[in-house]
Amino acid sequence: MDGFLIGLQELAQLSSILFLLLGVIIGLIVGTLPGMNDNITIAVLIPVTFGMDPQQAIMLLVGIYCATCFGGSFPAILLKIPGTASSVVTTIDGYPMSKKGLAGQALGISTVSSTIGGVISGIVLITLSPFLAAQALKFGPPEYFSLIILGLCTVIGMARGNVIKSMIAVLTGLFIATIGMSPQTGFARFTFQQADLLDGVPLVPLMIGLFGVTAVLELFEVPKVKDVENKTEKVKVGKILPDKKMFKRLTPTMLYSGGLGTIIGILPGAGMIMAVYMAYDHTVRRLKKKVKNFGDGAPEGVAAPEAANNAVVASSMVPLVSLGVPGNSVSALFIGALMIHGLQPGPSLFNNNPEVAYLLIIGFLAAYIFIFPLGLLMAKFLTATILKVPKELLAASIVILCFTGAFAFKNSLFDLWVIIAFGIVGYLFNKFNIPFSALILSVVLGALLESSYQQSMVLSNDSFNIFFTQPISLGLLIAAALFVFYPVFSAIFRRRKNVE
Amino acid sequence: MLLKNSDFYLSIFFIGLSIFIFIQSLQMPEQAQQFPVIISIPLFIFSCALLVKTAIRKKSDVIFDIANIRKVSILLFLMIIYVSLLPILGYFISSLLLFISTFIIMGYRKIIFGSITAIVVVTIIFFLFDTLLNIPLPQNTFIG
Repeated sequence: MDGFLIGLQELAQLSSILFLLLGVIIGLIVGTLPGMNDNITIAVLIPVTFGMDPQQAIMLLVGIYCATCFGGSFPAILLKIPGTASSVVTTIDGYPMSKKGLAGQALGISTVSSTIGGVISGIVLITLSPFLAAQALKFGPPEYFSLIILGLCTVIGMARGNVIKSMIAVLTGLFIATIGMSPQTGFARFTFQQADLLDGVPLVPLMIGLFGVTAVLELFEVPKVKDVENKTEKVKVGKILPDKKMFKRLTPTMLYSGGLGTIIGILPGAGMIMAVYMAYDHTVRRLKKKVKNFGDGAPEGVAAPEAANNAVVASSMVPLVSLGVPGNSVSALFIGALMIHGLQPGPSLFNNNPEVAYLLIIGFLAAYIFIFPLGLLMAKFLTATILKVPKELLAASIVILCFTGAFAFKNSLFDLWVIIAFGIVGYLFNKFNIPFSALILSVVLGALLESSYQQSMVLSNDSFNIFFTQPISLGLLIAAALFVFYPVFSAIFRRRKNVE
Repeated sequence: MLLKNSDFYLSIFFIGLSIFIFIQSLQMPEQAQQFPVIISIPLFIFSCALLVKTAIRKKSDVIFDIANIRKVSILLFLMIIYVSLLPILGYFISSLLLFISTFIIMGYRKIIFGSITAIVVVTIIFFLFDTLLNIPLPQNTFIG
């Protein structure tokens, strides 16, 4: 309980509130812009947080993460252009609502659903993280090794139909993590006599390259920019807030999808896309007798994905905050942000820096205090204006911000080459349909995986038995195996069923 | 123009990478080589699996459209020039040039409005990092 009071005390500081508000405003704007997302914004802005207190930096990033996900629904509803990937499903019913002159109602439903999903998830983060963190303090090297294996396996298992490429991405990430001095011997591995690589590939420039530079390269490919500009002029928003009757009708869908999104968010590697598709799919199946117009402007079709994707936001931080293991690429970025402030994410954060740990988890709930009114205001007045920002000028601004941020990381020109190199890697990974979120997770977790492996080997006199004789480690490895083999077995089962 | 068997080239690249990691690792001390060797073996196996999968299906999961490669390559070339010129021309001028050339390549026609935006954006970013965050950005060699 003391921890929560410390967190609330930190939140009550004017600077914390202002940075949270700033983050929400940035997130809402960025989410609205197609081609921009939370990953890009956070990666590019991490260096900006250098000069801030850790508390201010965290509030800024939390605000951005929560609001970007929500902002993505605006262009999805108004223009059928998802602002972020997590809003893809919102277009199915959101845009038809907009075409029927119910744009305002769709935006209002999106705002209310997002807030409910976010609040459910925030409550779970607040209650679950300290409990899990206390358990995680009992973890030794074999448990950590197995936990990371579980994290990587869920990423692979969730990539349905793309297991080989996900595996390749994970292994490539682990290889990148070995670049630099070996933690055991100090031997320089794969550095090619480059002194700048002795400490490994710098994480923040790597992420700026993968998200920022890749985004710019992809913006180069988006055709018909003028179509977007023309479309925005025709949109009329109208009435925003859903009435009591509609709210009552949508409440079960919002609660159900919010709960589902929260559970999926906790699973490392699962992510928003899976949550929105599952929530929409379940809602359609659950209500197909009552609601006949799914795909043609059903309010439930907006409420379900929006509650689900916002519910993933806070709960995706559970593995990071409680175990020190990021569950998705945004939480991997939070590792970078915490590390540049000398903070180690994970269970020890609650003991060593309770003011930061509790502020972080409370921040995810507090963000919705701003998102709700600002979201409604923006839906009414600003969306169309923001969407008129020329893509070319946006791309040019991101390029400059990427290079400046990467340079600011260590005042080193070498980091600028790193962002170009990883911009190319990210671009090619996307082109070849290789999930680079798997690469990011394994780069971030690689060093911890290697050290926990080596320590386990020392403890067990080079015997692999240690991973199978410790009950927690064994349980985690069994779960990991299930995640990897479930898609394989279910594919075989489906094929047999089809043959029959 | 489409690159239809893109997964074939991809698998060949990763097979090469795994062999490189394996051979390089063998030249390392025992403790340092352990982990890279453990990575290189499954990387080789999964890359071969991708190769076999592509060969059996006789087509890739993805078809690489290289129509945009020229545009993207020009931007990458500009970025490389930018990093090379940064220590000579300094942050402000280099960034202005990169900003303006980026939107021109993308086909933005309102050059004057774009250039004014470039000056405003670069000035704000410069002020944010150099003045507010106290992070010194590269100076112009000639005018400081």
